[in-house]
Amino acid sequence: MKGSCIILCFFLAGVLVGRLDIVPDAIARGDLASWALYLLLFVVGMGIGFDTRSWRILRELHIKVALVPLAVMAGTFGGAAMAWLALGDMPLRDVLGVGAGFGYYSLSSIMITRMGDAALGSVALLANITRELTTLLATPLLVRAFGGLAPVAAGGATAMDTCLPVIARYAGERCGIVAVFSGMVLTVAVPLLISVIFSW
Amino acid sequence: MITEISCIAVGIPLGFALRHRQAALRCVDRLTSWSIYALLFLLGLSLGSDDELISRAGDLGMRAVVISLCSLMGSVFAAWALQRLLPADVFGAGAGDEATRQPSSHGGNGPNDSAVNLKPTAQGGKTPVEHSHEG
Repeated sequence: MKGSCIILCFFLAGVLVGRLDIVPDAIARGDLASWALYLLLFVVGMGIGFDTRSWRILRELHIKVALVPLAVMAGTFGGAAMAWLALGDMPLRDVLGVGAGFGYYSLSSIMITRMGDAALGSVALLANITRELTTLLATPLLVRAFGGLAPVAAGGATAMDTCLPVIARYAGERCGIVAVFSGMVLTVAVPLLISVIFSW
Repeated sequence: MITEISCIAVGIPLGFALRHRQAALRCVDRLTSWSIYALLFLLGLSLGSDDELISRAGDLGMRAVVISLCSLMGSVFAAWALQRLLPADVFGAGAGDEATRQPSSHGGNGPNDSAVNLKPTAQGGKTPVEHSHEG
């Protein structure tokens, strides 16, 4: 939670400084931001390489655990398509791209800003923060109504860190282990899916 | 697209090779946080300096909530369907259910004797990824 607040503060500080109109426009659009994004993707890749838990989980649990992140992806895109129908005036690509953040709001909003535009990047930031917060708050309810895998799906990529304690507490230790695995697969999937979706 | 994916693809094996170096973990952790801070500050900057976008803030927020809740419910529904399709011992059951307290049928994978540790450990390499969603 502390990390989320710091990130929101940086974003809001940016909005404020932008309102004051003291920084030339070029900085926000320049090469600097592109290089910062490449650096970020590189260190995100290294972070993925550091963490070998998902292989151990696959070895230990049933191989069918691998179906969980796939189901989460399919369900998320299905739901995003419903949102596209409900909103009516947004391109399908944009709605799917925002959905493909799976709650990983920092990376998804940054990538969408670079590959789409700032308006859509802001939507991605808010939508994916909302997903994480909803999971944190609604997990007890989701477990009771839809079973132990529900919060794992709702949390998406954040099921492996921010949402993990609440999932393990209400859905049980075993779903917690599934959550780590599913969250890691989705964390890797976020940058890949967003690059594919926005290169249409 | 190729550039973005290559950046990650180069990082993964390098991270795997350096996974036991504490200094590398710390360095990656810090770089991740600060590049996220910088980029989100820049996102705020381009939003704030655009009057047209600021006037649409409420509309953008509404879209975000609709997409978020639809995606969340879609994924929850898919997970619920998956759980019904697969045998119960694959995922165990909710808290309080007997299944979570008994060893599973395929031997020794009960929740208590699992070798997979949920809690991040100092040498588990969790540190950098743990912060990656929040910066």
